[in-house]
Amino acid sequence: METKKVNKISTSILVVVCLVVILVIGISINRLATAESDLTPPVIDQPFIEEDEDAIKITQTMSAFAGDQKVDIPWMSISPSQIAFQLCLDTPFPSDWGPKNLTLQIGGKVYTDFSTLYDENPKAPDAPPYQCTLNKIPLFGDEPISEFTLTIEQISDSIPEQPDCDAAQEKLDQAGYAIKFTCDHQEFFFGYEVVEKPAEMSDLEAQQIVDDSFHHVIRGPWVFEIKP
Amino acid sequence: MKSKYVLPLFIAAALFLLTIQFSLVYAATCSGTACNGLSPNSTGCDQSAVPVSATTSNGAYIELRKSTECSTYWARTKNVSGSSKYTNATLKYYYYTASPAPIANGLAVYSPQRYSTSSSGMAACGMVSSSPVGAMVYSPCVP
Repeated sequence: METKKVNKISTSILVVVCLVVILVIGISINRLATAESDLTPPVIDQPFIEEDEDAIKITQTMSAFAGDQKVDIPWMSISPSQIAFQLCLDTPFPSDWGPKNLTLQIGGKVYTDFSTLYDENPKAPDAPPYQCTLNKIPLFGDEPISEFTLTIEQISDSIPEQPDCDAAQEKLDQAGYAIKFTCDHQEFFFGYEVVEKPAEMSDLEAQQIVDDSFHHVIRGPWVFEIKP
Repeated sequence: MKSKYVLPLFIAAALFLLTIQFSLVYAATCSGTACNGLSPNSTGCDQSAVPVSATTSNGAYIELRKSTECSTYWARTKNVSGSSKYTNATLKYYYYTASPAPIANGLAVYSPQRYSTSSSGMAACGMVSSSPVGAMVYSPCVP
């Protein structure tokens, strides 16, 4: 009788301990790979483009065409440490359009890293059709800039956090691409895997085509030959 | 308590606890500071997402993203290095998400979101690396 009572108590304690363990594991899983800081953050308040008094400024609008799509650069600022410019275009519909890939060639050097600042609310239905972004390309700053070529390869809107994979697959099918892919939707992560592609197509090419199917892309190039 | 009831009771309690946890994480909506630390996607805030600013750096495409509906901000980093990399997205001083394993080229991670009435004070940082980046990243950042 006494042994049964002890067993019941032990079982009850075991159940409670197991439930606590499940609760802790569950909370840990939900927080996997994400973390929060207790730091009190300082306010970051620096301009996107820092003014350089010695910078050469071009204020006459430069334009380039790719097909029917015109792209304007209304102003440009050139200094040894960076090239900054405004990039504008007539957009086909309101969205967060901006340069996707660009290259800057100065002499034998090619720069591909750049930063973009977007309009405040580019997707608003009443957003103006002529949209602009501010862009800057950091330079090594070790040579005088006499002439250079700026090439905007593509302009696109941004990919949603969790794209519509069925719609993207349909887009590929309609375009005649023999590519199939699967999607992996997770909290804080979106991934996809190409499971079928033409043999002659590289993995990176196939990935790029799938990537482009998640959003709208206008292909260039728009080439600006600049002699400041 | 009869021992034959212990196992069903245990399973029922465990399911109840798991249900509570999932309902907390996958809440349909949020507003104001109640959005802090939550996923932009599971809260639906990402439905009105726009980029505030973006930068490319050493194979990482780093964006500061904003929900125009929830007025929240988060960081997103896409691996554009051309090969699989560990990837980190940090909303500076607040939250980060780090991929637990290398992710393929073209894939992205994003941080939890933070409510703010303006983008002042918000910055997205991130990187891709051959080794794990399980901490906040403070460079490169945008804006």
